[in-house]
Amino acid sequence: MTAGYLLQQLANGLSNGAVYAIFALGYTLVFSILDILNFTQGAVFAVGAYLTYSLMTGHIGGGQLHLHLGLRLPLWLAFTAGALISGLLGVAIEFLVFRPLRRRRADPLLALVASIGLATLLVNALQLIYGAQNHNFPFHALGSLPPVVYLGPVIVRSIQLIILGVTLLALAALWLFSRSRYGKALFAVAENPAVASLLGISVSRYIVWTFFLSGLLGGIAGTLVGLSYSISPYFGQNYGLIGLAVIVLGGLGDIPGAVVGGLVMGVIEALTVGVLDFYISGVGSGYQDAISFGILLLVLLFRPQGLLGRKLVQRV
Amino acid sequence: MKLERIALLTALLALPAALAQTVSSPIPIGAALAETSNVALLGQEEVVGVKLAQSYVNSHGGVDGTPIKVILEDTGGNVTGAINAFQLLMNKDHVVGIVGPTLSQQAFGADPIAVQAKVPVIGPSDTANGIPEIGPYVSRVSAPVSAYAPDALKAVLSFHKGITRVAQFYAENDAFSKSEAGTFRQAFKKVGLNLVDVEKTKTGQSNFTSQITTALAKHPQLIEISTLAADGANLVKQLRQFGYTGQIIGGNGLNTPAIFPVCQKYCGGIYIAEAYSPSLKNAVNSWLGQHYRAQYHAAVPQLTAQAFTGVLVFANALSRVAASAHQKIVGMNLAALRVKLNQAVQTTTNFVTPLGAISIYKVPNGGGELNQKDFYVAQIHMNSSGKSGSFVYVK
Amino acid sequence: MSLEIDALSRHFGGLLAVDRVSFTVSEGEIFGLIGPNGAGKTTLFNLITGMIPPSSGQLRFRGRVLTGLRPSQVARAGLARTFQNIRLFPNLSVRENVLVGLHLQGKAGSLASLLNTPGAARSERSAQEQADQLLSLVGLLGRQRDPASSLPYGDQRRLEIARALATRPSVLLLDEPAAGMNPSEKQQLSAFVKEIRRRFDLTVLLIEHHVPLVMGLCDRVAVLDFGQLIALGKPGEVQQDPAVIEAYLGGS
Ligand SMILES: Nc1ncnc2c1ncn2[C@@H]1O[C@H](COP(=O)(O)OP(=O)(O)OP(=O)(O)O)[C@@H](O)[C@H]1O
Ligand SMILES: [Mg+2]
Repeated sequence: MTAGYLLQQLANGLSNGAVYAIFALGYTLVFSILDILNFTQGAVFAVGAYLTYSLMTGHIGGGQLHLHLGLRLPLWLAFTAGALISGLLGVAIEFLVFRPLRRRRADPLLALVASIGLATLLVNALQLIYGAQNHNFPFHALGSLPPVVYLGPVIVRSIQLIILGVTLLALAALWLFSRSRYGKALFAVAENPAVASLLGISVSRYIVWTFFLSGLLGGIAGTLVGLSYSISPYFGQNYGLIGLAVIVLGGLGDIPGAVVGGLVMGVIEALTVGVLDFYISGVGSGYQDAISFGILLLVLLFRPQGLLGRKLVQRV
Repeated sequence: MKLERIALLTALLALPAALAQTVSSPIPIGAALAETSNVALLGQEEVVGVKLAQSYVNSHGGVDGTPIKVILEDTGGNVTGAINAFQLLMNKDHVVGIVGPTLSQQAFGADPIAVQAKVPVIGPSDTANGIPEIGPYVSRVSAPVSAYAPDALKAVLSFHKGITRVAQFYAENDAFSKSEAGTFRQAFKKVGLNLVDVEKTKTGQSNFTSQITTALAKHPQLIEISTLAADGANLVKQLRQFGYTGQIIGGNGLNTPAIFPVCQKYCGGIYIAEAYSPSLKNAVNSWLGQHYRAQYHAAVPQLTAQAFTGVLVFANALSRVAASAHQKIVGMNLAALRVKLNQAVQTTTNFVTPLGAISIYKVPNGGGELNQKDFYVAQIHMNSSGKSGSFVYVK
Repeated sequence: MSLEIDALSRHFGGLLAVDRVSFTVSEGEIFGLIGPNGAGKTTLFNLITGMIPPSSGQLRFRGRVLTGLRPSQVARAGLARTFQNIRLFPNLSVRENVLVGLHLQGKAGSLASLLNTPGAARSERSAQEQADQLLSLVGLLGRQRDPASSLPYGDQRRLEIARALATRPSVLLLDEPAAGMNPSEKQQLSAFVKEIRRRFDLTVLLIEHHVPLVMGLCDRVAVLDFGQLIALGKPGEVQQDPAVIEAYLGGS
């Protein structure tokens, strides 16, 4: 096992971890303010990818439906529109599910179950419209971008590098936001909505914005991952579970923690395969989940507050 | 809940069946296939096959002058669905035999019910080991991978001399992929290849970079892939992007044009072991190719040909039953006919089908296993745009 | 004619916590609200600030009806308050608590701050300066970075006032601001309230039990007992009112 080999595995882990990170950010945003897990994140992720796909190819359907939109947008426009619509979907989910439940002071568990239900509904709707088969972004979607780039001895798929960049960008933007009065106001809402409201903060508007942002991130992540591989209605679900593990690893509601947790998770997975399989074929890849989640359990036992594990005031 | 409902349904439906039922005209042949769910991708190809078989048989004189009618019941993607479809076909539609189900896993659940009711079943795409061993009424027209994996492997080795190092990727949580991978490992041993690495994947996995880095560190010259279609296509794409230039041989999962849009130009060159070739020259395969192309403008998929063959085998066996009984099938006692039909299916010899000349022989303590002579190896050729491609038969 | 409370009532089940209370607080006044424990004073504050809706009655500020508005809308109409039981954001720092109050002042929107435009950065800097000015006014300069929960009790009260002032209110409602303070602090508080009234052009409504403080500070005083307004007038007059004496003696 050479240093170059380990470096390559590290790069594999970081690039895949970036996907986990950007996915987990969406979960964390909502959790940090409402203390609920919004399980629709995985479905919004898939919807975002399909939206961009449809806007770009002008084609909706494949399942029970075959429609041709009159337009085809270039990738960047389709991407922006897809992400914005995903944000609006996030808002719609707040209005349709979470707000009515909050009004009724429902148990947070109910909100969780309701969001799982809605996620299933959304995914099934995708399957109905687009069919169960995989869809793919047009080959030219990324223009003349080379499929991989060489960073010294390390090969990285360029799309993965873009995902890492976008993840860090999203983190930076959220960090700046969190330092502004609006960020403080958001934390105030998270800490004590009644008092925040008395200070003139429109709590419901902040919650709506939070759902918009998490939907936006979900849509962005979905499209990027879709561009990297291919899309099918269920492709958000695999990330849903890992995303959960990631936010626990990072500390629930901890925004930089979600990013660090995602990257750490990716690296753990890559090294599990890279080190164990190198010596005994199939061991690392066969027990990847068991090992990743085993490490997660250890973290929970020894650092229940998450890897970064700080108080809310220092979060972000 | 569901099981109770099925039990009730069974009881209700079994009631009239207990009375002496005779065969109606046209002769009903059941098809229990996955028309919905995520297995529908496969099931729909088979539905086309059984429908085409009905028109083929009826336009060629039916069974001794009597037309057949294929009755479809949807199994969905799971075992419960398959059991339901079987019950409906046996007890409501009074079919003489059943072509189905789509998946081996469904066969292990539903076939025992047919065995108990003494209804002959022909599996169109149940390729796992142990299918005929389910019971005396279970036969299949789908060759198990073990029948053709070594052939395909030998063919690839003969095209590319000097290959000694092989690596394998397979989806460990998919029963079929796992068993196929086992078969390939035996085949590696048989042809004297050195298995340098095995990487396990999961269904729905899309990023394989760490497995790829590990495998490539062992310098394989050939990589065998047993996964679901989209996963395998993503894997192939990433293998090529990470600089793998050796040969790739795909299992059944990659045996579909559905992979083209995923791996695009990177699909080019993959070898696929095949149980069917659309270019096989015989009258019935030409008929199938023509009629399929007229409707779908494409070459016949393997599953379509196998499902077609399933119905054909039933029709042929029915003719032989009628001939030896000197009696029309219509009006015969249904239960008695089913037993005779099963015997006839399992004595099919050198019967010419789109799969070539096939025989079905009875295995000890079990049903009918397929004896197929011709297997094929196809290589994927992608056109220059990388958008579409074709399976070119190289053996 | 500034803040008009018009026959406001609120009951909790069978309990009439506020019972048809009417009075008007003039612009610039320091208006005291006193009464025995459980008289309904805090409930009246809750009604005024929109935290709970009244069972009946109306509330107007500068002629505009506030009844039915959400607390955030009442705050934007110019009313700010502190709490009898302090309600800071304990996990935010001292300065951040004030910044939350300054939220209403921003010109650049939240999107701009997400994108960190130069305008947003400038407005952020000025917000920090304003926050520090307010903190120096209440004598908390130098502790900006400490978590609010680490402050001693009296300082927490002052921080709560600074946070309320950050919303630039016209009316400031203080619920027992002197509770837990020592006599000299209470003395300072009296001067402090007058100072901020002058400086920010405030009308002040204050709930207070400490009689000398009320006498020295308030222009007028209203007395509540069992939810009802039993006296209203200059501190000296109210102090002599037999009903008030009876309420206090009989009540406690
Ligand atoms: N949310 C509520 N639900 C039920 N009863 C309430 C509620 N809030 C207040 N009360 C009752 O209303 C009455 C008035 O309470 P309030 O807190 O307004 O009194 P107060 O005058 O502020 O007393 P203190 O001087 O002790 O602060 C009390 O009997 C109290 O128990
Ligand atoms: Mg009170």
